[in-house]
Amino acid sequence: MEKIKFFRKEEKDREKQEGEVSLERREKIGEWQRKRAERLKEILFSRTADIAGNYIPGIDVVKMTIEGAVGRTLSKRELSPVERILSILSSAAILGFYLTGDLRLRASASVMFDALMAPRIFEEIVSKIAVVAPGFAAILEKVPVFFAQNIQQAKSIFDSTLVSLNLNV
Amino acid sequence: MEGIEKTKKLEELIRELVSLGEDERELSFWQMIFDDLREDEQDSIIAMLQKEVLELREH
Repeated sequence: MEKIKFFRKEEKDREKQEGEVSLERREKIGEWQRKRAERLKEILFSRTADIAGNYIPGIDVVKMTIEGAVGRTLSKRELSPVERILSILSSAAILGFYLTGDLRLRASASVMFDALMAPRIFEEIVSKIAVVAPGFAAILEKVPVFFAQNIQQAKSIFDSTLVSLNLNV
Repeated sequence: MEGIEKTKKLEELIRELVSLGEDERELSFWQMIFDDLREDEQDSIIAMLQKEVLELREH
């Protein structure tokens, strides 16, 4: 219920803001937001180039998910700009867990988020990732902060990403 | 442009874009990771935002 209220408030805020912006400008903004999401995917994908030679089962699937992350949820609802970023970051975080062989990603999103929000645990995982992909780890360090700032949307997006990768248990 | 100048430029661009109707929370993410981006990546983000500012000013 809280989550629904949150989304409705966010939608209203966005409509209010969008109401003050011309349709043409809104379309342009949407185009630039999609371009930025593409750029983020390129950046994250390039950071994993150094591990591309090491075959680890499952890695390619997750990397492809970053590359192919689309702008809508499993229910086909169009993602907001923040959700689009969260969707790409979720794939990146899951790839990070894969890299370390850490199985905590197989827990539900809420348990995962307790873990993600616990700086000690996440720091430990990022420090393991830093050994194999330092550039990737530097970006991942920022992931929990952005997730924490957008926690309600983040939980739902992370859960959707796990489901789409068939990683949910 | 030096690192601090780039960061200031980014902040300016984000401020202007938000005033033109852009999403502040999404742009805050770029601000958050900016220091960890490579120089060419920082330049490309700044260039993208500059182009967007110019385009939005016309619409």
